[in-house]
Amino acid sequence: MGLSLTEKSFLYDSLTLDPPLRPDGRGPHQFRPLEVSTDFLPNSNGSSRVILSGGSECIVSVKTKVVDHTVEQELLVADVDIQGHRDDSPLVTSMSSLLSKLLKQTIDQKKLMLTKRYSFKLYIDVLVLASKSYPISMISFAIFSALKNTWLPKLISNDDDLEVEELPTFHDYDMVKLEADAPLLFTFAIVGDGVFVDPTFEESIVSNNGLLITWYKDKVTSPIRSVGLNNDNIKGFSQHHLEQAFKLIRQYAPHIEKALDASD
Amino acid sequence: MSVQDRRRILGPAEAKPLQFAAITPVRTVENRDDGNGNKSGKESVFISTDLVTNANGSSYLEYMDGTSDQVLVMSSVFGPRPLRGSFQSKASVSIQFKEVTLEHLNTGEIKEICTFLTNVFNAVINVEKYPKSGIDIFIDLIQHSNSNPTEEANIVNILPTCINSITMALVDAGIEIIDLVSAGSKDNSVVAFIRNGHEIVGIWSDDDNVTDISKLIEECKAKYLVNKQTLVQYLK
Amino acid sequence: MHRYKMKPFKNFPQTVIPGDLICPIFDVDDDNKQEVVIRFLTGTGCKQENFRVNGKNVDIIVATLKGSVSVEEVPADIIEDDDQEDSENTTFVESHETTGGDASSGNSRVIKSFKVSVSNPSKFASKYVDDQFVNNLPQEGDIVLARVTRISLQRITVEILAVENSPLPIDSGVGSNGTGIIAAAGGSGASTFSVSQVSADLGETFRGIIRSQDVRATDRDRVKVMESFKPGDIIRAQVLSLGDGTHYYLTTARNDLGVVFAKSSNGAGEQMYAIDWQTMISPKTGVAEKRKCAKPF
Repeated sequence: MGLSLTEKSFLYDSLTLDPPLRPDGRGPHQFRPLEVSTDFLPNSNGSSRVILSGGSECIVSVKTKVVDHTVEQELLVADVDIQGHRDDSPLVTSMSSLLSKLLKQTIDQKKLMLTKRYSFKLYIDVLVLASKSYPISMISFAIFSALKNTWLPKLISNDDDLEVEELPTFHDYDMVKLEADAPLLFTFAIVGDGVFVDPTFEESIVSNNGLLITWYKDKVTSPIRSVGLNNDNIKGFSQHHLEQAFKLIRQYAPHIEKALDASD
Repeated sequence: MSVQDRRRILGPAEAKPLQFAAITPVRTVENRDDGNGNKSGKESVFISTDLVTNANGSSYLEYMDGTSDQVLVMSSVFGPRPLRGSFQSKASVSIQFKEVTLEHLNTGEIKEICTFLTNVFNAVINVEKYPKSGIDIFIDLIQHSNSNPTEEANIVNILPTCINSITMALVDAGIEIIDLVSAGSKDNSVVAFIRNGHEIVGIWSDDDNVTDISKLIEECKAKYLVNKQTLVQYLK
Repeated sequence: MHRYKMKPFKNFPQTVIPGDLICPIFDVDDDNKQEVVIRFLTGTGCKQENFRVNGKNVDIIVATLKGSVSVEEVPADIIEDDDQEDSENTTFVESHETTGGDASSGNSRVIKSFKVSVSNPSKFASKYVDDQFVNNLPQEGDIVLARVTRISLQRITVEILAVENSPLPIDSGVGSNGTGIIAAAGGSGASTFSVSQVSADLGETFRGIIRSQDVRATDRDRVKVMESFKPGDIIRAQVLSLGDGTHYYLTTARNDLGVVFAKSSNGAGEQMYAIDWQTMISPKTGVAEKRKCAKPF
């Protein structure tokens, strides 16, 4: 689906007004209303579902398995699947690579350690059911709330197995909450002089460029990227845009983190 | 002896053995990094253009910083050539990155680099000029000394050279670009600029601790200006 | 290098690289008492870009290619009356009048237009074909040379080989610039090498369509495609529009457009020559075939 030239020009003009006018009446810092539900997949250790007002929807499931970490060093596997995009499309592969690299860096692997030999391995599967705009922000929110609500079996055997080949045993029904913090990713659309958080599909089409900024543990962290939200309107941006995006994120990201955390 | 040798694919009758001319550097531009003193040696860049004969434009860049880091990159530009499918009023730019010798990066990272570079060059190529056309840019990373097999390849080290190389190939091909793109890096961040650093066309940061974005940009800009000067020197 | 002696041209750069500023879109020359407003238009190799200088937006023509700058005066009557250009023009004149109100000759101001372009002197000198095709994609109104690939009752499909007065690119889909190739039959590749033979197989040329109504200017409803073109003919046509995703729309409805080269017996025979606008004959066999021929002179 595309927009006509007239529609694009109308949108661009209203976004570059002073003050800017977004098609849904939001302020530059406002997110679309979103609905988060967690723990709805009975077969997963943790799950969440995020629905944005535009109809974009994403589900995340966290599953786990006990592995010998002396053999298998990779304790985190993230996989992204976006409806309507091939698995080898640039969007899916680059997003999936970015997310798995990021999660490996940020999630404390010591928390997954069971004994000196065994660890939990986490499988994070992301399925984007419907998305028109750049979905990475929504995915990171879903991963965040899924990891906040992930319960792992409680270990009842000794946690020091002296590196012998003895499988850890777990309690029959008691679970322990995995207290893992996941990073939040924010997308910004740059239109004219303005910077807008959480751009819709229409806003992405007319944007001059896009920014992807990560927020983790109360600070801005890597990756920071410029991302093209479309292919034919790309232009350079200025330092001022970046500063503005940083200001917005520092001001509002803590609130968003808090809101997501409370949504059990 | 009368039996014809069927196992070998024989060359054409008048095939000649390959002969390589003695390599003479076209021009070497050396820039001493006098920004911060943490790099002791001399940075040098070797630029050569127009070496792929069937491409519309091509370039080869060697970047050496004074220490051990060395990046060799070659890019070639094909097109504009016709696109099939629905009508496009602007050119569609595609950039393919490839490691031709040792492979250190995984597919996902390579796709990330391609997407990033495509976005950078979408901002500078005059795409309105080429309706119904595709411009294909192929970039080959020939060597990256920092990437010894045990160490993780550092994308940030190779990106500025890739960007410079594509810019030179585009100029060589005569594809219209609104300005020479070049990039500067600092620690774990790369920022690509145009217009003497007044405009940013791409930012890639793997730095976990970005506290002052303005300072980071200033530092990258200083490197950008040096890099851009090198390109200008070669072209003029 | 410029023939124009006016003041604004004194500051013009001779050679440029992409990103170099050439000139603002308007300039004023007041050498001979009379004020002349000079309006610069963009030709190939440059683009009008907006810069912000001291908080003000200024439109400047920047170079987008490496090469030398040339300026050409555009006679006032052939400037296309583009709405946008027109409005820009008027706003400029108005604002100029308000600021410089003391100028006595407000009404007799002359506006001259110049086209600025950057061209790249061939990088291969005369040895190879110039590669400027990259900046000369077929545009509306251009004359192109094309080869007929397929005909049907309604339309003729062609592949565009070259835009008239502009050379081919290095990689015009033939995967080579045609030199140094060892041809299958031996000998130098350049002599036996034919662009038109190779390119279609690779699917790398721009394609065009001529509808049967666009074949000739008169009696256009009764055109018989079979009696106008045959596959393999080299034709001269004009671009009507950019067309759809895959094809340009072309026309040969002009005296100087139509078949320029054709071989008899569906390409099996020898080259034929036009004797009138709808007949070509082969000089050896004397066989005549029907074609819509281009008037050669």
